[in-house]
Amino acid sequence: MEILAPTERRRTRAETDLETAFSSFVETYSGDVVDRAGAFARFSTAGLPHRRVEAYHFTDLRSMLASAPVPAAPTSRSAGGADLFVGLGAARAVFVDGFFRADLSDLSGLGDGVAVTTIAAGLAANDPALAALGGRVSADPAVERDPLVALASAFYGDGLIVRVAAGAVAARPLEIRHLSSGASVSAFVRHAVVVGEGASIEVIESHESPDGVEIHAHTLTELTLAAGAKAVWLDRQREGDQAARFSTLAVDLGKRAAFDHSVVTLGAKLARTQIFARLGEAADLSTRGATLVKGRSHADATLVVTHAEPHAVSRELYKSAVDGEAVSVFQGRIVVEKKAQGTDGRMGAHAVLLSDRAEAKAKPELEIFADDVACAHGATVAEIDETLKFYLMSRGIPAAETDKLLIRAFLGEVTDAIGSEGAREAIEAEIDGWIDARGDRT
Amino acid sequence: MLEIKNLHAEIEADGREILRGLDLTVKAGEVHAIMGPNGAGKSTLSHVLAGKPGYKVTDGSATLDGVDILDMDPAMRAATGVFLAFQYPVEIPGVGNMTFLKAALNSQRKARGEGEISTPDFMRLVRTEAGKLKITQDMLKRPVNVGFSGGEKKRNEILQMAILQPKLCILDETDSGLDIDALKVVSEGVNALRSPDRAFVVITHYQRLLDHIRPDVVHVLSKGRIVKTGGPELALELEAKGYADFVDEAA
Repeated sequence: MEILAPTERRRTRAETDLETAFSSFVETYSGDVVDRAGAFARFSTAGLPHRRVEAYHFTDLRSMLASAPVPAAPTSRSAGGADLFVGLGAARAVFVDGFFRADLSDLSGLGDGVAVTTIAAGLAANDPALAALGGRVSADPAVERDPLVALASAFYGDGLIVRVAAGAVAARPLEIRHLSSGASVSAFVRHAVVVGEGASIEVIESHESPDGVEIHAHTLTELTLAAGAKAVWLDRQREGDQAARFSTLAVDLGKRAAFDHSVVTLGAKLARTQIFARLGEAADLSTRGATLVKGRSHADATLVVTHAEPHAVSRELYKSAVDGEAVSVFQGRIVVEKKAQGTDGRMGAHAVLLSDRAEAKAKPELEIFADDVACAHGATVAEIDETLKFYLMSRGIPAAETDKLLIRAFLGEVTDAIGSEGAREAIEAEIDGWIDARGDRT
Repeated sequence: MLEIKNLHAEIEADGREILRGLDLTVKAGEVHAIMGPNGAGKSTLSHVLAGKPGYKVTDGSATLDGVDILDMDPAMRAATGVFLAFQYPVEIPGVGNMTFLKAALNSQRKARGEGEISTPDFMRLVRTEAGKLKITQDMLKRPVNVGFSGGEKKRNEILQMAILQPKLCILDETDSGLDIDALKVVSEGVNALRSPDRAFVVITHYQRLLDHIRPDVVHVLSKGRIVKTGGPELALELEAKGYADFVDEAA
């Protein structure tokens, strides 16, 4: 009896691009300590995720990515971009097309306990410490399986390794700025930040690229907070209108560690921000997001927050303003493992639709295996409230202005809580600019 | 100042006619009270004049100093001088009271071709007017009406009126939900704004408010039309006899 032989799945153009790119790319890194082939195999077995893959149901990369630009090489070309945080007095690490640029960076003044090196330097020296970065990203197997994590693990060529010694407090914030040379490339960056026991640091991450250039910008960041460590992190993304941005942050919070995280998404044609957080005993996580999308952009924020130990607290608040034909996606899952008694988790996702064709999708989930927990989630999708709008207009405020006030007020709950105080004002101004650019529509 | 002629308006959603040929003339400096039973169209009148969405004017006109206001959007009406003190002022989380007041004042000034008010002048203005209405700094700092009691919301309405200095003030059941002390503060605030070049239309169900805000003219509204007009004594008569006589008169 004949059975049908399984036919090989047809690869998409983007998948073929990545296969081709990998086979020549891996040559340049032959013999390095990183298991790139293993990472790429994890990607290529299933290929680009599509809507039947649950985690990518609303963000079907197989249909959304027509092709994949070639992997970037180090460049000396300059790159523009609004220098939003220049006044903050932060130390700064600048990456162009995914490669560190010493000539644009200034890593001084972080203090004695803070050591910053680059991944490229480590790769060149074949530092065995990097081997660890090739494999395990997080204790969560879902992270390991994630196709974007696998891609970044296979292709990364540079990034920062930041170590904050136990008890040390970074003397000033660290800004990590990702710029584009304007070339159509795929950039892959991988950062590892380890904050020692009782130590603390503030990181301001920024992603920018010019309009009109197809780039794929991948960032994979692993953050480890030891017991009692603290980190404040702001991730601001304003990629160009043809850019795809894929960011993954895997954060591991030790006992009583605290992580205050904000992500502001204002650009890119396609953006996927993934946060995988694992909370130790009595750890404290706050993550919040403000997403502003217009045109035909698609922005996805996907969180998996795992309470692995007792008495941890997590707060997730994601808000999006969606204009034009844009789509905003929120997927959030709080997992409470069996031993995580006394967990306190609260998640909210709210979207305001600014046009008839805008879309917002929210999927909050709770997976609870412990019995003594307080968890809640909520999601709303609404339009600008006509009653509020009429009230403001009845006092003389024109329609376009009332929209601005109401959008700003809606996002204010997120922006007011941004932990990087110095950066907050710049972010608010940038959001105002985005709202102003909508023009005088009613 | 306000001239309403043969005004017909219906609810957009179901086509139900609420105002059925309403005529009303209010001169500058006057206070007119509009009373009437539930469902007479009192609130609809205030909404239609302020430009609230959801109503359709099918006939007639309303002019302020000879300018047709019905074609204007609510913001333009406000800049022209119309102010509605809401029966139920809404809460606006995330918009600070001061931000709101300043945006409103400057928008109106801009629409009238005047310059923006300076921040010190604005602060002084707000402090003075808020003091008169017993509005605390804390209330000014909070988001618009958020966490305000019923009385605080109504005082906040009068504060806006005092700052925006409209030509025509429409008070929609401002007395509802007020205890006697709050009623006094609100009424004093309104009375302080009475002036020869400003007119008031005070919509109320009860005579009580008119003890504090003395009207020059009292109208009875029934089934979408003014059915009786008189002096302040008409309000007392209504209080004593109820609306039934007047409503029948109209029928």
